[in-house]
Amino acid sequence: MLKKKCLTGFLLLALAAGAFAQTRAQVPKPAAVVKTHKEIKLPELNPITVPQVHKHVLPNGLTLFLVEDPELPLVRAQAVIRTGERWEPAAKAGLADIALRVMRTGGSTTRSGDALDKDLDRLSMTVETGAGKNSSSASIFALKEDGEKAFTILADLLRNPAFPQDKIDLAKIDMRDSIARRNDEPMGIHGREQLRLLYGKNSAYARQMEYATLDSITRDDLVNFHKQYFQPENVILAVWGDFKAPAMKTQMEKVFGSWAKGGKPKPEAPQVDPQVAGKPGIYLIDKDDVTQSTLAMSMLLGRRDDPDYHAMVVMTNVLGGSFGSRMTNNIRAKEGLAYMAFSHYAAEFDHAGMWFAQTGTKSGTTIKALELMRQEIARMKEVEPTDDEMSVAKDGILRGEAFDFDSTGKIVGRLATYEYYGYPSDYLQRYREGIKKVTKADVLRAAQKYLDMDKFQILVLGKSKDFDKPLSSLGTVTPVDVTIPQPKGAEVSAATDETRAKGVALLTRARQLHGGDAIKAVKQYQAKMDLTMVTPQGEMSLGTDATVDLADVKYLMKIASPMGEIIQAFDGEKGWMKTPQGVQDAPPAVADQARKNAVQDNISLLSNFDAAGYAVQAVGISKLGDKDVEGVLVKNEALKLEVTMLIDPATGMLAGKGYQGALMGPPGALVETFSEMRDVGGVKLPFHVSITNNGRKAAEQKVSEYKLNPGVSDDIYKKPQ
Amino acid sequence: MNIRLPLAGICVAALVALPLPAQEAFTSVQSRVSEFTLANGLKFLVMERHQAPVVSFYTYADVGSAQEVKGITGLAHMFEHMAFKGTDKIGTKNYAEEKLSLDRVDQAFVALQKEKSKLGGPDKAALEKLQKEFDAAQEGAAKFVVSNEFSQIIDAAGGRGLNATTAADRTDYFYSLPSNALELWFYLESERFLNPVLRDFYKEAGVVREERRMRTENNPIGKLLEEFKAVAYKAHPYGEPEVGHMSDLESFTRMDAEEFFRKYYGPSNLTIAVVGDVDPKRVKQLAESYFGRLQPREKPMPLRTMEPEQTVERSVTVRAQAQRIIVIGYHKPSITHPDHAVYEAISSLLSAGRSSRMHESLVTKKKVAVQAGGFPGFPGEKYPGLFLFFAVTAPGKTNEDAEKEMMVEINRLKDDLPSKEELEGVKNRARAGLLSRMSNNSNMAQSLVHWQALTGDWRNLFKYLDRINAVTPEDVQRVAKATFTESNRTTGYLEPAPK
Repeated sequence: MLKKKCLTGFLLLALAAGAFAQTRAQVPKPAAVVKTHKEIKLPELNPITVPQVHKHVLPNGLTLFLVEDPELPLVRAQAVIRTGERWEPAAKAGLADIALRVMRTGGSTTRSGDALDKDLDRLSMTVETGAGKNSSSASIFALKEDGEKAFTILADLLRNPAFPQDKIDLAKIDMRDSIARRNDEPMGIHGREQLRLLYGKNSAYARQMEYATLDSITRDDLVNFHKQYFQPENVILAVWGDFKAPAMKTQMEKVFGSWAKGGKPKPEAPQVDPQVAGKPGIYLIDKDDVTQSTLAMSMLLGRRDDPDYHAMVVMTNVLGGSFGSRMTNNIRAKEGLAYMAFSHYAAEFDHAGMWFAQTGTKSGTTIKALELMRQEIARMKEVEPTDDEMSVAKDGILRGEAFDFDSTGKIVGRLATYEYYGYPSDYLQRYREGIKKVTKADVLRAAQKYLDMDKFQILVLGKSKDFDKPLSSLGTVTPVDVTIPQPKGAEVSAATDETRAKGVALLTRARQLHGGDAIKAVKQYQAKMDLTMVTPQGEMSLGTDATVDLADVKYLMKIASPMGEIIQAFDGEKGWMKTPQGVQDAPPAVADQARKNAVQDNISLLSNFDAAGYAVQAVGISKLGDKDVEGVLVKNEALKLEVTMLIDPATGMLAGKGYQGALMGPPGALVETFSEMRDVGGVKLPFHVSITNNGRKAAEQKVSEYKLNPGVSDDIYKKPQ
Repeated sequence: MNIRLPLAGICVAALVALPLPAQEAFTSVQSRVSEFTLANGLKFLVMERHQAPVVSFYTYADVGSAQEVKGITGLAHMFEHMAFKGTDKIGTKNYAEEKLSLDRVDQAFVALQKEKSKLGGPDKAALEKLQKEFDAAQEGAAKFVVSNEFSQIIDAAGGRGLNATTAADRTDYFYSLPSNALELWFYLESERFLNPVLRDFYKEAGVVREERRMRTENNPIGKLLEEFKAVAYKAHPYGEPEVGHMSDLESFTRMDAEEFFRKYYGPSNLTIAVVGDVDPKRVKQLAESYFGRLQPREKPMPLRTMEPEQTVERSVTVRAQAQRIIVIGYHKPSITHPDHAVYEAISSLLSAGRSSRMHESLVTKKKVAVQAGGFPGFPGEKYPGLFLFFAVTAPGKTNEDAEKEMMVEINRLKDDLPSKEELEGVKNRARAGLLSRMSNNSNMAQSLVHWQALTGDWRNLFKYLDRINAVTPEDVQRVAKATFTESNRTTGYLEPAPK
């Protein structure tokens, strides 16, 4: 039999709630079967053995917790590092994440990241670093004979990260991907938006990384971030495994002792700003592709050292903290309305936490489930919980104390966390005492104080069309837009005189080749074409007829669809559309696309690129299909124009163009390829255009006729009354 | 709880504990595992681990969604939910009366279903009347229910991690208790499989339908995998969704579940692991008293349907409001096949760590994916499953871009022998992986019981390391050539749908 360490001389703090007994329980006589569980007599519990925790602070300020655990021939470690996403600049959201990733993947100034990957994988050793919201972390898993090697690598990474550009770029691909996927899963969307609504989307605790913030992060930012926060005073390292504590202490001094004190001030936890926090009310994320709604009521609530903390924990458990709680009983078990129905108090150590009650149900019972949840919350304020409810709510926390001590990692990890937040090392014991003292009256008082129906944010994600009742029957509904702000095109370095001049030269030559003055003379034109769209149901061909007013930015497209004629138009100010159902204002995305069609028209661009308001820069060679093309980025802020003209270096003529846009689907990187260039009244125009969206074929245009300056009246652009 | 002051006496054991290298650790662990089989056929595995006065339990029922047929898909999972509803003593105020009321609910449900599916469509008035009668019968039965009493008893005893999972191969029931509550577990778990009462059946079916909506219908990856399995399998029940089809979830009955229970929950179909601060002798005593009460039943007949050899390549595309993912599956043999370790070695080569082949190629170098790998045993291991390759396609790249690079890596397995160093890493990782599981009672209980039930001997958990160590580069190539062929392939694409 293997036992943990002796109990002499260990830190008082590790004793937190430890229970010890002198002897093991006797083996009882052969078992008689009981008739009910109440007849079972529990023998005395075997002693809980608390391992000796050796705490040391190295002269450079690094805090160590060492625990011997000889059960397996392993060494494990977990570090809490005083930095995290809440301290990164808002405009650089994503910086902490990228820095802590590349700290590991990029290796150190003397150790390549790729070699490290190979080495660690071969030895089956883990050395990782990662950013969290409130703190960051590092961890080690190694066979004991590899322990020192693992710590040497970790110290090197923490002190001397190389932050190579290729690994920064690689991390950015993955992070861009996570932005692109963040609307894929309904519960993920709901959880994220709830946090943003509650803390406020600019809060240090809820702001999210966007393409723009990610794009703005440079290697210098990582270097500065590292300088600011990576100092030994900011590291708390918990180590446990098969070693002797004095020897491990010597090893830690050897590995980390030469790391010089940084002397930078300890970053303070940003507090939750009520000015930026969201307002109470009912919010809706309308999603037309779901059959199940996710709904929650949430509010901000106090920290773990709040005087009402324990009462609110018990209250939360009575309401929806376990299988026996009110929400589970009444929404899940009795009504069968939901798989999930619970309440949760995500309390924090040093700032306001989030409290919420949540459930998920089919669209057709959304309001019913929401009303049930409101009733359960309201009922908490009316009468004290029963004795049974109190004991169930407390049992879940107080019973099974032995599980708080069933792994060395758990014990020492907890102590490192308390140390990080400046909480007492016997916090667990104080917490348990606090829970024990909570009375029924305390729960009622806390419920009445905090469960204020007017202060909740209610957030529903679902297909509102299929709800049993309109959500607005409960009050004013504020829609939540979860559209992902679209990425800028490929990263472009700042323009220089050289790239500007080259851009102008390429476009000037292209204008000349496409017709020169004849191009400038075109003020309006019409194009008839067959448009073939690639849709999930297969390809679909439509006859279209577009009229573009280049001078005044007006646009009108007629589409002959199987359902009848469709018109999409932009009258210079507003967009409108006509369908067989009638005339209406165009949704913003459609209006903007129609406007864009005018401002990024080939003739318009070739005519105007050197006019006031336009900025032009050559962005180098890229591939269009299998052909090399020269890119020229054309921007006009007033026109919200950003398009890359692609020029065939062999002919000097336009080969295509690329821009962000939407084409019957989610927005993406659209690329047009031109062919069949023919002369129309002295202007060379493409009669065939193929379009890809994020690299996939999306559409094809075959032009049958261009008419230049047809003299069409302005009236056609006006929305019919 | 009784709290006493520490005394010097208990230190003795600690002084004699010596650090052990990996192999000795494995030997030591195995020496602490004992096993016995009750007269009724129920097998127990017991592992002593006295680090803390806690114990973890794992009950493995050798029944999963693979045992379902059309009409009762989802029933294995449904029964798992029902196994938390109590017994004739737990969860009821008066079982004698409740029993009658439950029968009335069943009758009302059947009458309602018959009307719904009547030729020529249901009669509206009759339907309303039957619905009312069904609702009334449910209300009548609800009066006797003490909701969630089973789980509350466990909570009150300080239980942790109470849950259960249903997969294609098996149904697992598990939780942990302070070790002095050992007998409580014996009482509860034996009663659960001796006298289960499937109360609130039709309401719980509603809960399960919500679970299906959450995990499959409204989850693009869940949807992709359901469709993918349906295409990869044409005969074997591995092709069916574990959670069941919606129409079955709306119409199977409590009688279906009871029949399923009688057929598949006999003691010879159960294996139980107990890991933690226990005395194996006491465990055996209690097992005999409590589980000895289960009447022996014939082990169910083996599954008949075998998946025919796949001879044509298949593919399926799911379009959803989601980003791209691609999966490629190849049929492979079950866990008991001699090449099992070779498949595991291939998985480790391809996907364990940043320097693994698929990560290095698809993620780091070619940048066509943000995650990539491959693993055997989808959706199960008991019967021949699939070796599944996957890639989470990078933004701006197509599934075809990812597929092309996946095929390069798959073909490389067939064309070139892996290096000695690569296989060395595979072996080291297998050893470390096993070590890391051993410091957790619940993980150990799960591993022991799975290896016992799936392979007939828990020792295979450890022998597996020797088998991994014996894998040669030629084995990898041979197995890859035999398995990763065009006609044995099914590909699934998740593509973004227009809004």
